[in-house]
Amino acid sequence: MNDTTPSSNGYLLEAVDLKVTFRAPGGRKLHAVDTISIGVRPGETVGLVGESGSGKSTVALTLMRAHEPEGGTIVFDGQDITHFNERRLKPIRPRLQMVFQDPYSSLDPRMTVRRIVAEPLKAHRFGTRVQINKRVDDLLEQVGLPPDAAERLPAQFSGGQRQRIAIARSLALEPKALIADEPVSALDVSIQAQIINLLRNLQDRLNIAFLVIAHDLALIHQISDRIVVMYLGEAVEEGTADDVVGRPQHPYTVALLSATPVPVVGGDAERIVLTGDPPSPINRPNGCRFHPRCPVARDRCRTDKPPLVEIEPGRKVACFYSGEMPPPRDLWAHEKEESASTGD
Amino acid sequence: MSMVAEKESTASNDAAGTPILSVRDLVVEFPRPNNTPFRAVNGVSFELRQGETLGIVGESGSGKTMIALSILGIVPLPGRIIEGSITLLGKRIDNLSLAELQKVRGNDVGIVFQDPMTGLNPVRNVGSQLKESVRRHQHVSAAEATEIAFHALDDVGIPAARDRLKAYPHELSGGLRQRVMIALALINHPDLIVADEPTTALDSTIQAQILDLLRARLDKSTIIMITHDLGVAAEICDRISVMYAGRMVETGSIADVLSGPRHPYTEGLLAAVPKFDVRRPTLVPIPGQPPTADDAITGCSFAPRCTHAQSKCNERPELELIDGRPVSCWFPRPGAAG
Repeated sequence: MNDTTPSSNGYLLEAVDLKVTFRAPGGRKLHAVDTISIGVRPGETVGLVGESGSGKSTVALTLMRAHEPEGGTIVFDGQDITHFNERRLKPIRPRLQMVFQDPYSSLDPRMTVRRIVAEPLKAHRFGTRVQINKRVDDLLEQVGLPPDAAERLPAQFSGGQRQRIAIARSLALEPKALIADEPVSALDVSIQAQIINLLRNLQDRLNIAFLVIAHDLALIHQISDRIVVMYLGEAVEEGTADDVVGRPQHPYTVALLSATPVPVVGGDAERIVLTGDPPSPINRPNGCRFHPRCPVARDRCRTDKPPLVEIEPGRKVACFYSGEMPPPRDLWAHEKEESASTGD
Repeated sequence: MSMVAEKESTASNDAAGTPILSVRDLVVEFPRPNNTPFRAVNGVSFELRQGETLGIVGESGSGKTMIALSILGIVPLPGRIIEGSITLLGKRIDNLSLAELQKVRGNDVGIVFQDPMTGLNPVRNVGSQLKESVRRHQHVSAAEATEIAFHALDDVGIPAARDRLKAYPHELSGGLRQRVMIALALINHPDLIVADEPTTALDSTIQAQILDLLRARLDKSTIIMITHDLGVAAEICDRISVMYAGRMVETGSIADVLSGPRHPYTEGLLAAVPKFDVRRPTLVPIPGQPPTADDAITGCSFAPRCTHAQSKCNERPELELIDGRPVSCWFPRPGAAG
């Protein structure tokens, strides 16, 4: 196993002031990711949440070096890999792996499961055929697939099982960091929990740095230690999972929380419904990017851009009027009930 | 509306009102070469009363969308309804000719699909599609149809509605397109609206807008809402039916089902969903996989995945009333009492 070299703040995988733009039709710039900093420590799960077009998947692919950043640096395991070419990236790849959303398109339909999971092992000369076969069998067992799965084709598996195969492949080379982009959103509800629990168990056992990207805030809260909320290519709020969800400071986080339906009777006391659509990353509003949809925006928000400010250690918000909107849910209601009942 | 009032005065005065829609013992089959046919819907019955929103909740392959398509008379070939009846406003609609069906669709039944890009014609502007529907079902002039179309868009919260009549579907955002779908579904004041996953393709803040619109605009409408999301169902449904492997396994008021599920599958679904709890209890997944067309199950379809199954479950349980609501399980869960 490789020894890891976390940076001074303990991050194994880190993006500093990452900026990614694409060329849009007409020669205009599409600002997919605009100056985001994000870091993941070994054994930690960071959830990156946002709606479509927020830039969350671009962050993932840029960290994997599938997109060239326009600015900023990517540091992995103590090395600045921002401008590494493919040859220099190759020894990095085994330690930095990714799981994609759609297990139907991410697995080659003509390859047996054994070949799919063995492929990274062969590419990185893991060992003899016997050793590779043994490793594949171990991996399939780890992700809860039956031993005879190895000789079958992806088409013979359901969506949840295919995602297990994709996870087994991503773990084949014992990565130090794993990025998962919407790992369960293509799956049925009864299967989602199987994969969430599998990822959590693997995380506990393997001590990897885990970055999860999803649009579902309830899901992100369930699996993450820390959460970063993105809007239109920028981070608007960051903190521990319970803080972001239980004490949201940015109006967008409050609205996102309020918009997430949960199957609980009377679970939604007050709903904040944002007006309008998210603006285009080609033609972004001035000032705070969120101000056209913000229920508490004032004149200043139309002209000045609020910086992402650290309000407590590890807790950041980009809003001039943070904390003005009350949280839609009381996450600590059960504690109050419990203390009230013991106080009797 | 007047038709309904008429019916209520002539029909026997049932306290709960006359059903708008009645589905009885519906069976939808897909033939398979060299194999027994696959029953996508396997004996489903339910009723819908005036002003009620019924959620049909289930996972992919459970048959929920086939129920919607059966009501609309558009079960994809080679599938077909082989048993049962569908009665809308006292009239059988499962055996109509295409011409008769076209009168029913749009006039009596409005449709909202998951993906407005497939529900709308991409090469015609929004106004002409709305006007076509109006003039097919109402005797109005072209100018009057334009006014009706404008008001329909305005009513579903589309800004600058008059300009948008000229817009093509691809020029609109996903949320606006879904509003156009809803305007189209409502434009001839149908007695029943069938909504198949109307918010699934949308971002959560846009989904919240559409759910708000459905609540405000369709409060008095009679709706069948097909969804895989119990959270969405909790927001707008009065009653829900939970489907598994082509059958309804549990029906009840949304509050009863969510706070006291009696079928182990419903209980399992609820335990599998993250719910914003700082204690973050480990999610309890439902083991195994849903049955596929090839799985021949003679007893309870859920038994192979059910942690409470016993030998009795090799026989198929029928829907029986438990605390006044239909549940098909030999060993129902204690519900809210437990």
